[in-house]
Amino acid sequence: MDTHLFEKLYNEGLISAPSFQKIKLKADSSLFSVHWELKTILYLGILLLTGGLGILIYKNIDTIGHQVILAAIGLLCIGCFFYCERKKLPFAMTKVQAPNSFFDYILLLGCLTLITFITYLQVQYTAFGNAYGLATFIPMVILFFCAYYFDHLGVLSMAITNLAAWMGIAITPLNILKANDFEDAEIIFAGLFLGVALNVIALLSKQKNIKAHFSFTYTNFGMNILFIACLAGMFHFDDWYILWLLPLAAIAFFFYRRSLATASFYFMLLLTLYGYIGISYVIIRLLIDSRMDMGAVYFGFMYFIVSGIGMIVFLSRMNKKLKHNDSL
Amino acid sequence: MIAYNHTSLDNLLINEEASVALNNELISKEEADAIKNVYPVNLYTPNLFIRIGLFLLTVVIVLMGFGLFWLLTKIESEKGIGTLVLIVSLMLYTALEFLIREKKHYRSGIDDALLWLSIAFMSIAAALLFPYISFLARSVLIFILTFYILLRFGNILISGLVYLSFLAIVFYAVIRLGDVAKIIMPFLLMAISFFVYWLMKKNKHNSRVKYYKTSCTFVEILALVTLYAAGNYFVVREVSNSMFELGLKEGESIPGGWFFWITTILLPIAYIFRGIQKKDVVILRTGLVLVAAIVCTIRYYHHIAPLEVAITIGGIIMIIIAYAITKYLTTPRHGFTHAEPNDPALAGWLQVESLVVTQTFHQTTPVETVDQTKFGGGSGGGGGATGGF
Repeated sequence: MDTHLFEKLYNEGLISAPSFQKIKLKADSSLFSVHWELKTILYLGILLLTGGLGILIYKNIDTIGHQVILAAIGLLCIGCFFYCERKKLPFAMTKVQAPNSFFDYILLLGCLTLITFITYLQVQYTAFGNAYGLATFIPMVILFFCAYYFDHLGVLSMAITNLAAWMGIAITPLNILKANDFEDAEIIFAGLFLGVALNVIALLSKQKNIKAHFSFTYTNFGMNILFIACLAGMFHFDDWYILWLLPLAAIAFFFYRRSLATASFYFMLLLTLYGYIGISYVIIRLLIDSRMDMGAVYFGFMYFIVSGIGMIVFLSRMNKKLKHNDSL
Repeated sequence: MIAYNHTSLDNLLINEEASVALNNELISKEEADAIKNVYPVNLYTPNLFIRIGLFLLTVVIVLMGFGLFWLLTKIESEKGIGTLVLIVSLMLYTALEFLIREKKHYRSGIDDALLWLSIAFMSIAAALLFPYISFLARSVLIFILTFYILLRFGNILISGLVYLSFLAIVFYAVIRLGDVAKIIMPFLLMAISFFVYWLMKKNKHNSRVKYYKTSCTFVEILALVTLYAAGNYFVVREVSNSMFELGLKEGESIPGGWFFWITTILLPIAYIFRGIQKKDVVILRTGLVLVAAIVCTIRYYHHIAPLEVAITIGGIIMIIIAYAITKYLTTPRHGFTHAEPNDPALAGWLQVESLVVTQTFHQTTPVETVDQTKFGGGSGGGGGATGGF
């Protein structure tokens, strides 16, 4: 903190004497926070530990024996949850702070080992029978429970991806396009359904004030899967691609309203880009079908220049509008 | 010098300081507003996400515009295209200057895009027009170009390019001196890195470079990294092996290898100590990141333990260290705390953190494993985290 600057402001009468005192005090006694350093070390530590244990077990399964491994995983898991249960602050419907950053990651380790435990039981002993969905359903329920009980965004995100997996869709950020076969009509409709469901949950948690701060995570997953499923539908159903503009427009309009209401620049950007991709796809398809040869190419270039400028104007206006809302 | 209006930039700096003070509840909202009224910022800087959108759209427009331009001119020769690209680059630069002077754009996404596109087109034009120039000449060209851009626009990433192209100039110039050069090269680069680090550290708070403060910090970090890299055993061995044709076989060491082993291991530790001692975030974090480089370098040449044992033990050690520090700092000691810093801008990072967690701890969902009745196949089976390997 630059005390010279504030001294100048103080002399100009812009800040009061007590404020200036506070600033000077802060500048002298400023605490150095190693919060993010600790978090990163912990994160990497747990990543390495779970990864390493995974390979260790996989390689030595024949020598150690299943019971021993199960017992070890179980003990680790119980230890983690025991620590979290003891350290956690009392449950509330609103946001509950974690006691320290160590807590966050131990909870994560606990959840991970618990899922491994269940998966192991299922694979080795088919403990949950041969019901296809049950083995994904149980971890999902546990994750959702832990996310709400301990108030943890990371666990909530894992729970949502598990919910999607249960429905047959992969929605981890980097796999959403890679791992899904969007050639499959069933996945497209499942994606649309999941997206709607997640957005409904987001709205409800905000309205009923049940962990309202989870709302963003739900909306984020819900919005992306909705738009991607919608665009996938447009690319997949060749004969009907123009019709998909309707749901796309409806979704974009819905999020336009949401983003204005919550003053969210992030949602505004996403809906603009997804919407632009959809419209551009339709225009390019129409141009290709028009058989105009070079004319179509020229027109395509012109389209992108003009529409790009239009989009820039739109985004700039939205920036103004959202900033205005922000200060309300 | 800098293209932006000086008063606007000064006011921006004042307002940034004021908002930090406001977030720490040192000054009241009224006081912050009063400061804003007396020192108004008339620069056009949209929100980060809008900036990303404007950046992408500008890139689309410029590339499409170039495509159309090219199509209309029907040029096919290499020199012709080079000239065309050069003209477009100059046009983009003019547009950039215009936007900044007339429309007061400052990190709006549009100016970022124009800046980078202008540089990219300029480099492509240079490559097309002068295809056969030496590495040294190329480094000098890039250095002059980026240094000018840095002075004019104070862009952070550009400052990195300036520094790296400067090191490249030194490298390619000294290498011509022959055998002596090969021996002194690591030491020379280390000395330069250290000097640059010292220079940045000493001068970054100087009011004469106040518009380039973040650039100074960035170069400071890079200088620490290059100081380490120039003394890292892996870098020195492999670079001298491939560039100076030493013809080392596996297991063979470079002359004076022991010295580089010492710097490989001791430098990051020295960084961390210095960071703790001086409460300097820059050198502390750089040191922490470089610990990974120590581990990787050692593992590359010496297989102390199988990979899975090594990472399991490493993971346990890291968790224990984090636990011990958290415990130790439960009440702040020696001016250190593990509490979260007061900054509303960090709230967004929690969302990012949760996404990173989901991505990297992605489970081998039982959907996959159920299909394999035995534990034999698959990619790590019951281990859980496939993200790790």
